[in-house]
Amino acid sequence: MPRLQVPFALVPLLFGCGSAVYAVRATRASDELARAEQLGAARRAPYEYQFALEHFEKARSEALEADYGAAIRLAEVAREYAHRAVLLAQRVERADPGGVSITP
Amino acid sequence: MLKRTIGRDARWLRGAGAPSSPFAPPRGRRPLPATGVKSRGAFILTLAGLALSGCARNAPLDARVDQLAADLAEVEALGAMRCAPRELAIAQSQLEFARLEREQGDTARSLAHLDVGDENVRAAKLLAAPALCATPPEVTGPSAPPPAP
Repeated sequence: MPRLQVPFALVPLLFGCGSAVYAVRATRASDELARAEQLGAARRAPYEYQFALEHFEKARSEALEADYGAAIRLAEVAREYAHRAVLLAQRVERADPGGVSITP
Repeated sequence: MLKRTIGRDARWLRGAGAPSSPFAPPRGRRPLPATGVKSRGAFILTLAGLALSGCARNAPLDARVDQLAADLAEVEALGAMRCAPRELAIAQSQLEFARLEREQGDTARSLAHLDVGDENVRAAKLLAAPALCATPPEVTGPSAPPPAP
């Protein structure tokens, strides 16, 4: 009987894991998005920035419904595209500094 | 009436006044009517129908998803990535979300995502129209050979 009790005791922990993993991924995505925004990615890399933003919003909405699997995947896509936006914005800035005005 | 029935069942469970055979129904309760072959068959058919309807795909939703994907391919070919990147990103994301919701069986949400996707595809189409989104002059390498006289 104690053998059976161990896996059952782990079930709540596994459910808790989803939200913890999501929280970590969402924080990373949020940080990268903030970095992209600071670099003016909304203008310098609009496609990547908007794609990341959309996925971040959807990840939050899925997490609110406790669908952490989808939320984690979406947050990961958001982070990846935010990172691309950062790189692209940096490249554009190096090529043409001051070419694009950064909105406050 | 209900209290009395519960009380009787509880007494039966405790063993007081239990029927002689362990398999016999409690006293005062009528046995379940025997189901005929016809009604059993209908029951199985209904179950099968319900199971199949759960697996069946939502054809109108699928058609809309396919339509949005086709429209997206069209605006991409028009140069939306250059002239309407924001709208293109939103439309592509919404298509992905619509597919996700469809997989999860939430048709209403899937349709809502498709609506937003459609709006943005329309906007991208306008912005990527040839009149507004002229292709920049292509930088070519060495000049092409002059046409033969």
